[in-house]
Amino acid sequence: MKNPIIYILSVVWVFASCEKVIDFKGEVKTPKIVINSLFNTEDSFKVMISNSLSLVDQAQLKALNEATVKLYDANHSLLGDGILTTDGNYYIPDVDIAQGNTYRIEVSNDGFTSVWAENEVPGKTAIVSVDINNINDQFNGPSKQISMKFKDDPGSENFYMVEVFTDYSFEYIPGNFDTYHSRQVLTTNDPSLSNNALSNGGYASDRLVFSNANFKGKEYTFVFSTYDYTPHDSEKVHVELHFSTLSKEAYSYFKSLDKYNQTDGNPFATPVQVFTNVENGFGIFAGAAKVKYILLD
Amino acid sequence: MSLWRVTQALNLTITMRIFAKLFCTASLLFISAYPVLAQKFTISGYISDSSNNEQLIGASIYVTDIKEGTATNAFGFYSLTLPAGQYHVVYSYVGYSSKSVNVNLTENKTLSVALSPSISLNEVVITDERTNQIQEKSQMSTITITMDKVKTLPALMGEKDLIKTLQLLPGVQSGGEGSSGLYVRGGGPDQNLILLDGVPVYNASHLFGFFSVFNADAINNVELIKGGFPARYGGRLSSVLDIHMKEGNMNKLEGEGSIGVISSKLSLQGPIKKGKTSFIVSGRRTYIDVLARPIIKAVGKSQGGNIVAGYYFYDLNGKINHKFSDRSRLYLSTYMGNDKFYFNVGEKYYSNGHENTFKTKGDLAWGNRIAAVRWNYMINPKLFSNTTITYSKYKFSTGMSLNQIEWDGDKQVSTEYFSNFYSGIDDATAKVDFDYMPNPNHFIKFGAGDIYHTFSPGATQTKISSYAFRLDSTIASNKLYAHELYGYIEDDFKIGNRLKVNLGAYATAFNPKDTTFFSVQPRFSARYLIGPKSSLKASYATMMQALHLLTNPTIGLPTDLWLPATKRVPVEYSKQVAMGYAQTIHEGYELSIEGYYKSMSNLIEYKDGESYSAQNTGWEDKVELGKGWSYGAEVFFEKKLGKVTGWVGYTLSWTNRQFANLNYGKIFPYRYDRRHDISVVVTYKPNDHVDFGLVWVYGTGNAYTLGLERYWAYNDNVGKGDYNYNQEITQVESRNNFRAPAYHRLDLGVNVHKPTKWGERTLSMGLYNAYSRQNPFYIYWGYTDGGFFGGDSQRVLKQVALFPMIPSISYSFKF
Repeated sequence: MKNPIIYILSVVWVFASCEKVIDFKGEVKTPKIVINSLFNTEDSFKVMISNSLSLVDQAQLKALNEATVKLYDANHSLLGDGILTTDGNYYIPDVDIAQGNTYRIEVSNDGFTSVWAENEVPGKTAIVSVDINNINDQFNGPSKQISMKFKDDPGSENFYMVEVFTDYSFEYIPGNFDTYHSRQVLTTNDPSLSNNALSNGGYASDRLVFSNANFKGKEYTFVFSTYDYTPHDSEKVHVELHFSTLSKEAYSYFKSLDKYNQTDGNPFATPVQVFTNVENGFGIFAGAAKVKYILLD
Repeated sequence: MSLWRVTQALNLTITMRIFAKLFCTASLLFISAYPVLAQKFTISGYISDSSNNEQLIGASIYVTDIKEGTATNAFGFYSLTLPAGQYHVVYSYVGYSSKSVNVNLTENKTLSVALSPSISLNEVVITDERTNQIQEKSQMSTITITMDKVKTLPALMGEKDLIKTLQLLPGVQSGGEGSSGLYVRGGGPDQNLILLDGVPVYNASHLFGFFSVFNADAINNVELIKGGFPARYGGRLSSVLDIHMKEGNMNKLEGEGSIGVISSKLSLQGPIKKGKTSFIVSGRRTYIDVLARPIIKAVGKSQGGNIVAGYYFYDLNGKINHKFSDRSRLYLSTYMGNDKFYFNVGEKYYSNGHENTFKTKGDLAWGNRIAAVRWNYMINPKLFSNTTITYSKYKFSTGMSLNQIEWDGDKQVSTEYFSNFYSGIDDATAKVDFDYMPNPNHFIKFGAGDIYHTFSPGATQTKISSYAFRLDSTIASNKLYAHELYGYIEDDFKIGNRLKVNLGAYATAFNPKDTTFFSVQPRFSARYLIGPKSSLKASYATMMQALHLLTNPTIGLPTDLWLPATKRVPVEYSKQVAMGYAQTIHEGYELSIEGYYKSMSNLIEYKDGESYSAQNTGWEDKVELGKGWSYGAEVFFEKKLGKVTGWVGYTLSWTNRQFANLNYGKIFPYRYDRRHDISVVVTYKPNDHVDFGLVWVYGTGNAYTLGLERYWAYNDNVGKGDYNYNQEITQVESRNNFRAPAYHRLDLGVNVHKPTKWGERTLSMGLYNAYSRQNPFYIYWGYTDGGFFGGDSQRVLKQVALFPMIPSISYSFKF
């Protein structure tokens, strides 16, 4: 041990990890069709079609603009064909999305195995009341606390999603307004979600997705907060609360996607399988029954 | 009194009644046996090593005239009851010269025998002895490893390691490169009951799992049981590793030690009072931290800061053994070991004439503390008792603090951050065990005990103090307490000349806060001699495990969190059936072939996305319950005697898991599902001055969860404007869906011994991973270097390997 430097270097060499690129000897997956659609009672029928690729494929993912998209009802009667609007986005005209209805989508595209998915739109849940309070958040900044009361449908497993959308307009030149439509980040300490909180400040996301496991069949007040949207001079703000009752598939998808985003890149976390209900492909095709409530106009 | 307390009290009463019945049964056995044995006499005593008086466990006593025999128990005690007469008794033990004694049995006799270690390698030390041969034992799936073998084999960085040697046995796998975890017949590392002098050890690893906590110099005997568990063991699903420490030389002071690449160790043993009291003390410590400190400090200074950082582990074993009389003996034993990684960084800089400082420090520490008091008492020549009181503690803690003082103009702004996490488990145990040997055809063991568990499932303390934000929070799970009460009875008995059966039952009651679990677990193993040198064997065992281990699923960290079963996450069960064939092919050559099927229920796995660090959720919310099963075949061929010794082991196995809420409820392979596992272990000792060791292992690659496809997530285009983008998801098709490349490695070693005036010195040289195979430690999707502009960067699969070829050298001595 006359020369500790040599010793240390040898120890470091010993412990230094050795990294190399290895041949991928697993199955190289063929590209599949991806369907993404959360159809709801307050909107027209829209669906996004794209492709999947193997991770070893260096190509870019792309929207499929020449897909054949067919929408059926529960009896397999054709409701309409998809019409391409923008890149990969299809619109099925004249479909009145109704609660309790089941919809089936079939998508085919040259060079791909055809895919299909089916889902039912759940029943709507009405908002009983909404209270808005001005509070200070954990950083002592002003924010809006919103208490939304609703009655959970007894006897079933229900899933909900809360979103707040704002149309923000700013008069940058007198008489000229620039408008931005956006979904706001919401924070909650509700027990249905606080178990997923990353900090003591509560769970935060732009979509609050939860189940009725803690309040089955009861009238329940869901409390959350968002930024202080009170308009200043030269501003116009329109704020809407969207309260959706989700199908179980939609709930599973958003919960798993949320977990995926929370843990992506964390080497200590168990890898997350993002839910899919698309047969032979990927993505989500799920229904929601939505009610809207204007918080500020 | 609340209803559940009343229920628990009733439940415990019922359990006590079950135990009472077991003991009544045991008593009836004595009573029924006694009149039959009234005209017989008993030879009893201890068998020890003549050189140091160390008791020999499992030594053979064989009466050649009547071809009957027995073996010593865990304390070197034996008892043999025979009709009055003249007998020729042979005492023997592998590696020792056998001893024959003519006994005129006209009364009960105490006959303690000291055997001498064999001097010549060519000496045939076992002749007539049969009781210890593999085909004779009713127990199957059991392997005893000698410490001489452990010390002869080459090892990573020269650290002779018991657990690493056990990983070379069929049915036993290492977790991954360098790991000292044991994965036995598809079970997890938490499913092994590791006993050090009868005390459970909760975390058996040092240095993030690269070395085990067991100092080979302090250990006398090791037995690994993979199936067909005798009824005296319980509490874990997959294996029992029963380690006995040395007792200390009763005759003279002895020492041994070594100086190695990463650690040094020293053991001393000797008499406190010759022939009556002895001691052994053994310690080991690494010194990477001490040697690296000046280098790290110099590096820190060159960067304008002050850095102190290091890592060390140590362990200390101690034992005192006092012999009150031939009937009574007391053992006090202890173990303590710790690992600690620490750093302390300080920086200073000046702005506008003010000194700004930044200090941060942190540590990560874990370790075990163990103590045992054991009292052996020979109640009569046929009945031996051992009363034990033990304490075992495992703790893990990590802390970090940060202190920053900055100047904003003339205003001093300070920020402080402090975080600390602690978890652990404490066990206090009282138990009594009896060995009753009414005649050569029966060896009855029975006993009872109570383990009082205290769980500290984790407390995180966080303090933040800054000009903008203050937080002082402690998120702690309350300590949990539980009794684990148990009783057992087993009999190893013969039916005729060919059939030998070990039949027993283990009954247990576990009462954590909100419920009580009961279990009566039948145990059975048997052998049927199909010839003088071969037998067929079969076994069945039900096991219950009341403790769950939350451990990091991806990277081996000492963050193990032991928790009790609860109503929501109940106790784990396993059922294992095994059949096999055993043969002594030739003196010293043994072959065993076994097939097994094991099912496990109430296993836990982390939910998708969960990890140990998310302390703000209750642990029951983080896990899913499921089942698992493993089946396979094992072949073990061992050569025990001669210049060349060693074994070849092969395992063919399948291990799967299924959880209702994981992997869409579909079956997936266990991470350590290994189709083929081969080990070749050879030692060659041409003379007393040199011995060579060779180890080659091959195993199917571990199963990893790896995304293989990618696609866009749902995007409703809200708020994205011109900057619309689609999030890319890497899809995980199923858990553990990808196989890493196979693992294989060759280790070589040589030990050169030289006698000296004061004893013996040994120079050991080794080559770990002699052909420098890059075995996968971790696999992930990464990118190739795309050059300065990153243009050609491509996604590729990358493998991290830990250990290339590593030479080692160590110097050891004995006096």
